[in-house]
Amino acid sequence: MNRKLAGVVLLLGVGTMGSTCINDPFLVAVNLQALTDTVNIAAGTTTTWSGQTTISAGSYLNSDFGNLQNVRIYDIRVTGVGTYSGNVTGSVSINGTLLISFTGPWSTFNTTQSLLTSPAITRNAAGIAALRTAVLGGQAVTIAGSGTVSTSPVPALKVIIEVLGQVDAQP
Amino acid sequence: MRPFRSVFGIIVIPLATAALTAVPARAQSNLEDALKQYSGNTVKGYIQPLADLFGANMNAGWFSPGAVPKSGLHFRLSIIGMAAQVSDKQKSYTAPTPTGFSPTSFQTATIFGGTGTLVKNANDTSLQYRGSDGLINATLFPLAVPQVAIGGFAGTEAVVRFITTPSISSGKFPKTTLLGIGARHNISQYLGVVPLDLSVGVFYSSFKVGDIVDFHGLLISGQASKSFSLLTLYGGAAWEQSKMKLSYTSTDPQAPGSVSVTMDGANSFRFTAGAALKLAILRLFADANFGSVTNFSGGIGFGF
Repeated sequence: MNRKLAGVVLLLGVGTMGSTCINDPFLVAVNLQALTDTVNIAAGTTTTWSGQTTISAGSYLNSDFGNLQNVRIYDIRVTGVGTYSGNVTGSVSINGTLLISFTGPWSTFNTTQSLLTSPAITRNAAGIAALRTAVLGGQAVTIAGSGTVSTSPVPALKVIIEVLGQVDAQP
Repeated sequence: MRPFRSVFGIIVIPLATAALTAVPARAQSNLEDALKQYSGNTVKGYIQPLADLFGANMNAGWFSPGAVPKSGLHFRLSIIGMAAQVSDKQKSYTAPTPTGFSPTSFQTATIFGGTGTLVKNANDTSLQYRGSDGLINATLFPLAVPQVAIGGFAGTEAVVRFITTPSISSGKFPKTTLLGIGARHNISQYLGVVPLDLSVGVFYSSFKVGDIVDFHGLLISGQASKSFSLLTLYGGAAWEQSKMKLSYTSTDPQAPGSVSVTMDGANSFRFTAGAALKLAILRLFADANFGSVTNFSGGIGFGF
């Protein structure tokens, strides 16, 4: 009888402690990786520049994550590397759709400019929609940058474009 | 009685242990995915309640039912269950937003919270940031472990608890191992006639989950108990410490790379009050522990 009582007590205890459960769905706000394009501007007399990078789905999002539910952009950053006294004007597209345009003195971009805080960068909503479509569809993302610098000769320079985003995903 | 005893021993105890330990085992895999999104600076708020609650659990259930026999070999096998109470304030925290974002912080779910909060940048609401969802929905966060106590030398007993769960689903759920060791010593034997059984103890625990979470706990306690026929009332006070170390590689683009963070559990002191029932070789006990984290433990033991 005592053992039966013990069994009942244990089972009640187990049942009560089973109040813990895993949230379902459980969405992780996953950081999109490697959405970066670095464009080299060759030294010389040419004042136009362009370059693109294609990032596969497996590179920007770990394949462990399935059931993607939403994509967000929380910042886009542009950095100019190198010393130059002129101005720069550029645009960035995602899979062929304009994402941002930017303009200003090159020296301004020597400090990373953020879409969150910089008046030098202008966003295009269609570009964010294009990125969302690509990520949710598991497609590669091509980031293409192009533009001009104001005067030649041009020293060797570099433009770095970073797209920072998240995707809601279930592990 | 024999069939019941067999079923009880072979099925119920392993099932109870497996059911309770399955929660942290499953949580770990999803937890790892969530943690990797955070940098070392931002992960603490999300995971701190786990350090507090697991730390409190890990240091519980050591000294039932109170008295340590002064002489004679004794042995007791117990299944100990612990549960820490999850408070509302442990379900959300103030998280930083990315650099340049407005607002600079927002309230979102911890690991014990609900849906992660979406925050929009004040200057351009199309720029948005979100915290991960809480993983565990619970009012009580449990842990269970088998424990063996062996004594018989000068009023001293050694206590060992251990449980391990293997890696399953091709490593998706990592191996977990909990090991605890400790000792209690009867001090009533030095005090002459005292109305209570008094003892002191020191206990150490470690719990490792895969490669990213490593807990360590230490409890130093004094205990008192008083027996009335089958019933024993016991209580105690303890100093304790628990630490949770996280080691992983962050994918946060603002601070990528290796993260090694150590967090302290909330409890520093606890006071315990409980009761035990002795029925032949069987002992049942339950107690409540009061500190920064309120925690309950209970169990069933067999011994001689």
